[in-house]
Amino acid sequence: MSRTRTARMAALAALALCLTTSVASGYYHFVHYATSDGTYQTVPEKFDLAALPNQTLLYFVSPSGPESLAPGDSFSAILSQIRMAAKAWSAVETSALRFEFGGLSAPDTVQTTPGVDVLFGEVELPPGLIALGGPISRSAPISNGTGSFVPITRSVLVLGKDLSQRPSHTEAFFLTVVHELGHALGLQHTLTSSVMSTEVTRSTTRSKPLAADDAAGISSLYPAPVFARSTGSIAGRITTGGRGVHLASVVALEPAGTAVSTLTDPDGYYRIVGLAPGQYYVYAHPLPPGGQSGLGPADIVLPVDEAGNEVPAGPLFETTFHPGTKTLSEATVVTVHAGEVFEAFDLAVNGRGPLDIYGVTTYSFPGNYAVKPAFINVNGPRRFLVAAGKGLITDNAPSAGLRATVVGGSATVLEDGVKAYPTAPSYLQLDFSFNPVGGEGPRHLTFSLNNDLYVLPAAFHLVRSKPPSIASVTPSVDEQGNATALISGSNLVKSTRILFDGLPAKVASQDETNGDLTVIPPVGSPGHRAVITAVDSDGQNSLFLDGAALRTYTYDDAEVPSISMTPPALPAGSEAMVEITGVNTAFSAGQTIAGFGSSDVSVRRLWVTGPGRLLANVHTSASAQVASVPLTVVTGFQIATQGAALQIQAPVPGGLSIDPDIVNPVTGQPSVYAGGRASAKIAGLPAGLTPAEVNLTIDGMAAEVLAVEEGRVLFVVPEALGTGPAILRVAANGHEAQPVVVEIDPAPPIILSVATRGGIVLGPAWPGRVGSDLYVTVAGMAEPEVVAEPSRVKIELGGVSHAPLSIAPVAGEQDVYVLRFTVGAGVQTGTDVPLTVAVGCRVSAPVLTPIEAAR
Amino acid sequence: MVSRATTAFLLAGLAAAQCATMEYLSPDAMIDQSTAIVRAVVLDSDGRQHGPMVYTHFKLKILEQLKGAAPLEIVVPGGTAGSLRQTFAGAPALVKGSEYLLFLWTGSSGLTHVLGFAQGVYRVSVGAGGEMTAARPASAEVMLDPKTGMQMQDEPVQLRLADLRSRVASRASAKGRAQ
Repeated sequence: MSRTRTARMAALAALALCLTTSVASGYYHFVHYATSDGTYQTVPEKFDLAALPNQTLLYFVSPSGPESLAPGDSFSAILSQIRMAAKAWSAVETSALRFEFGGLSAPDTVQTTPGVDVLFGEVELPPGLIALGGPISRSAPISNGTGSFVPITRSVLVLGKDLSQRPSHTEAFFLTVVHELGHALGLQHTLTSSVMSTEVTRSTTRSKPLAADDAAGISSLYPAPVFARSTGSIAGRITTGGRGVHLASVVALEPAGTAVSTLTDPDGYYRIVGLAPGQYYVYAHPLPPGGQSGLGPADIVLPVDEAGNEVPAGPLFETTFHPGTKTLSEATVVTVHAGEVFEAFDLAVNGRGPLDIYGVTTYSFPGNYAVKPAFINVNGPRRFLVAAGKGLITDNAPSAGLRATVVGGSATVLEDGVKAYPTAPSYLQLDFSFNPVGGEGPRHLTFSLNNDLYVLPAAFHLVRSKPPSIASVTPSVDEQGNATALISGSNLVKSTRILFDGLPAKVASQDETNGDLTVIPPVGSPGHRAVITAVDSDGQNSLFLDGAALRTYTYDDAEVPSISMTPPALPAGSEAMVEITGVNTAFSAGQTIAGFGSSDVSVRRLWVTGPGRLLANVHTSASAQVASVPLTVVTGFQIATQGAALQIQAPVPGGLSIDPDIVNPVTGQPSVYAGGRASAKIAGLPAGLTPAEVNLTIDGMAAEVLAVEEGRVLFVVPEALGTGPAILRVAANGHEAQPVVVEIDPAPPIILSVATRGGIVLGPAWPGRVGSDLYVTVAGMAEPEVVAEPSRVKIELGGVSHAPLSIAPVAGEQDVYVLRFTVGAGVQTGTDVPLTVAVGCRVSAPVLTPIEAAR
Repeated sequence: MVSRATTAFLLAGLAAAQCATMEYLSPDAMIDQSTAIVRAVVLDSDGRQHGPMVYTHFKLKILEQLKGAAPLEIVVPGGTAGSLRQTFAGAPALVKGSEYLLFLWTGSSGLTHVLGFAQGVYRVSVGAGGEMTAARPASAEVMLDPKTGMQMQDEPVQLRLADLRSRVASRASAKGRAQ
């Protein structure tokens, strides 16, 4: 039985302290140390978000592509995998960094804005080296509002010119790109089973490419405001003989869930950030040796001091759980709460010689192929995994005294279940029994030998069904004449995603009798052959069973697409709308992206107005050099390019420039509607202009200008405008700004009433209560899909954001819904607590609601 | 000659991802694919930018030339050039004044690289009987089997220089006969 120690009081006591104390936090970034008052300050290498438009980092793919491809593979397929890999990093909600396609690279163009280059044969790779990725940084740190950091100026990902042995449809290729892009963003290796882990502990999949450790790593580097609010931290010091241990890996381990880690600074201090609320063990372990003498342990790029000298790792030590035990039943279990920090979670460890166990990799056999990491079906016949690693096997038998234990229940290693794998006795076999009502998901293993302890987070994944398998892919056409594909196979369930190479297909329907899926393929390029993979939410995919028996879909031959763009030139430092016209294109909202191949030109937002027409707002950096850059438009697998599509010209002195992110001045949100007020930021406006001197139109309709102050123009959006993209033009003082596209939204939702479960409308005599359910009746949601997607709706009450538990339409009413939510802890109480409902950026006017504390 | 063991599973399209992804090269492949094999001491190093890459250039003092024309300078990805610093985890680390056995490859760019990243760097030591041996630890990076493209386990390698000389000669001889 675990000795659970609730350290909440200690945490609260330490909370105030931590707000003023800077404890070095390493995670696994590329780190520089600064010293101040005898303590080390961690200075990571990272991109300067303030230097990036919309905090968006662009990546560029070399149009040369690889020279050699695997049979049937294509550049379009490779690009689809790169896009999905980048999307994995961009989708981390607790990270402020957005990472988007910037087009096929503009060759020989000087670029002043940071970016990431994906290269193939441009960088020579010697035999034996397949891929390479890493950041280039300036040596000197800078400081801004987020602290000191060493700015990354550019990053590269080199995939090599020969991909003939690495087909892009494999999970190996996809995860390689995800991992290398992680390095490009500033992350190093971890040993916590994340995508940034070495092969020893990596346990992520195409279905869930990032682990909690990866999300914590990227978010601690580029924190979004929600990061600190929604996660907790554990901090302390690792010592041996009273001295701090440098580069000890400290891990917060949920017994049956995630693992998040960090590295200690030279004084042994650590801070594990990004912990989801929950219960954790905390342990420290030494890093395994590097791949070459002279390299840092685990091939970590060693931190450097202010003089640029590498700071070596501390001594090896025994892996130890807090408060100082190798026995899980004696380990502390910490309850982490959002927004709180446990300080002084110190741990004294004993030094030791070379490690007995490390480098453990697990495999399972759901079919004829080995799967790594191991997935074990608790309902299947093969209730074992096979492991390889240093120290597990001696002379084709388990090393004497070796023990293996599952952390967190659900599975147990059988008493006689540690044995050599008969088929290959240099591997270890572990047999399991399972708790019939146990959960699914990743499970951790501990191995002990000769007083050494090795913890492998997410050593295997428990699942309750077989992997999906695809027997056939049959092209078809639906009633509207659209191309479809019938995916037949086994273990295809409602949550199964169908991928065409790297791109998800939309599921049109599922046959309830046999599970077959009818999907709408992503937009294809002429003759493109896509490999079809079925991916389940539990991490399994159809390659587990189908292996090399690939199922494919070949697109029809068609005319090659082409594009053209106006205007053909823009000055540096401008914001402008461009119109892109396509021939033989199939532009599609949600599938079409565009870029100019230079980090100095970015597409802020893009609107698909037809299969052959796009509108886009384009930003050119003020420091952009005069140059011609190409335009790339990608829709699904269809790639259309226009060489020298845009001429970047010298900046125009005294010109006006409209920031296209116009806001609703009432809510502060970037959502405006016909008849409502809007505020536009316009650079270059001379001081002292009156409203009458500013001419503003939207889609040709004159807008009433209410005020001009501090570089902003306040105006009324013409009431006759419909919803959707509209063109905003501004002229003043003899200058006309480049037009931009603005989105006209539906009017905000209107709160009709707030009532209790019994239908009693809240009032002074009947207030709402913290912890109770409330029912908000709202008109004008304007988005019926919120019923199925309630996450788009947020209810803000008394300073706390709530997600609706349910959204139900009101019978007989048009666009009226009832939202149910539970009043959360932390909501301010009183007679006039403001409540608003937001659908995306459309925020209702507040209603004042009486709320009292929980009884 | 070579103490080495490798094992590979046929994986269902799953493999690891690393800062550097490496292809496993057998000792004979290392011999065959290298353009030079040398025993050398590192004299000096400096970082230079080549397009999107920073390379550290190492000047060598050649002690023994086992194969090919001995280069006086080799490059390793990453390093510091002026105010720019580029880092690649797992890149070979060569220490000034240390002696190495190096498997090298010169590409069309004219730059001479270490073959297979850390796979091509061996530390040289002299045993009690005066016998020279070269050794490298197992790589922590991903290794892919060149035949299957699948991930495999790397293990430490230790070899006697006398055996390596013989092996290089016999491979060269066999290649000559084949031609």
